[in-house]
Amino acid sequence: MTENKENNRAWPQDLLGIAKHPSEQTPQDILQIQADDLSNKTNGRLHGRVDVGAQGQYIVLDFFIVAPSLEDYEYRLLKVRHKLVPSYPVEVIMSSKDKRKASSPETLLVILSDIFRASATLSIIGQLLDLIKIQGNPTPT
Amino acid sequence: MRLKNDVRTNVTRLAAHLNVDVFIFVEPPPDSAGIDRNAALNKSAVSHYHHVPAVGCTHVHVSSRLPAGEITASIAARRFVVYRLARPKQPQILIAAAHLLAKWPPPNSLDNQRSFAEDFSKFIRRAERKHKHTRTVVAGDLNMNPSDTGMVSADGLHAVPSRTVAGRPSRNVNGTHKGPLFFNPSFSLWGDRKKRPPGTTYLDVNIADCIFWSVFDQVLYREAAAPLVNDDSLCVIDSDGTTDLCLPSGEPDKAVSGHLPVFFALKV
Repeated sequence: MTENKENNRAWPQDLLGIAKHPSEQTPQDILQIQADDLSNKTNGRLHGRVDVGAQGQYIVLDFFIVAPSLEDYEYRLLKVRHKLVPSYPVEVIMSSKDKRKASSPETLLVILSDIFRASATLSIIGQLLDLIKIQGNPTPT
Repeated sequence: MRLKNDVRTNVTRLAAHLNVDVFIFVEPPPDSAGIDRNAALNKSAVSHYHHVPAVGCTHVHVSSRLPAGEITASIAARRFVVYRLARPKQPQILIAAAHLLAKWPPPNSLDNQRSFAEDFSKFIRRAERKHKHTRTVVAGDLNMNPSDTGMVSADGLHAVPSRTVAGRPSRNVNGTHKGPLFFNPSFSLWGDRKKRPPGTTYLDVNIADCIFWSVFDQVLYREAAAPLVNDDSLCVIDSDGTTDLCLPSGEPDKAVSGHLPVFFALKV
């Protein structure tokens, strides 16, 4: 699992550093920055994508990890849910038992940092990178 | 099929008994219980099976003996995966496999189940847009009965017991067009008139509205997939060909699995 080790050094180590003005950012802005960062840190082998939808009175943001060279395999890592106005507080949903609330952009960043650095997340990214390597078909940068 | 304990022998027998090409396992605990599904299947003299990876999904696992690449995961979340099945000279089919939220324990509720069903439904629609067709079959432990709100609701799985109704492209709900629908043949698995188990799970609890038998393990399909599904094949399995999966009293033998497996065939 060398890719795993590589990834441990990459995304999203500087998550908090990227967000220069988090207080001005919407939840979608914050997720999109992380999506873009995943692509940069993996040299395009993995992409992040944020899908925007609605559920009742809520805006729902789905954060996907996409592997273009694995026939565009997509894994939804998490959901973020918030009201249209105001956009905070938000609920970050990992599973039915793992729901966390963030009352501000700064708190959201801390929660996302925790999730992105979790061993389960790094394992998923490592497995995808390993599969890409096995296929010998990395996406050109 | 939902596995609970080490049931390698039963799975191997089922593979041979029913000539199974693809197993969809839900909530298997391979690490904690030491179940190696592919090792079990490869003991079968019939053929060899391989695990179809769906990175990140922890609740659904597929083992297949089809040639590598014919069934692959396309889009996944923790509790569900949409696989694409592409057999030579056959139209592609999407197989959406899921293990949805259980009814118990609290704080699980019908509202939470409905919310999960809505999420799963949106996931399926996303996959259908991605692959530009609706030849979609749903299978798994949906943890709801066919008539539950999350199954029937237009924002949920929108699954109905009539193929004619399910064939409508959409329907009007309070002035809004909602669609498409699923046909849910699993309604026909409920009750024991056909000398089959009356459902896939059994629960005898001391409450007024206990229904005892439920059909939590279901198969649904879109109208576009109907020509590719052998509807007569759908059944609840109560034997692995050698041993009963039910106790003498008729309820599922929980030493094997609390859920009886469901079998269906595709014409591909």
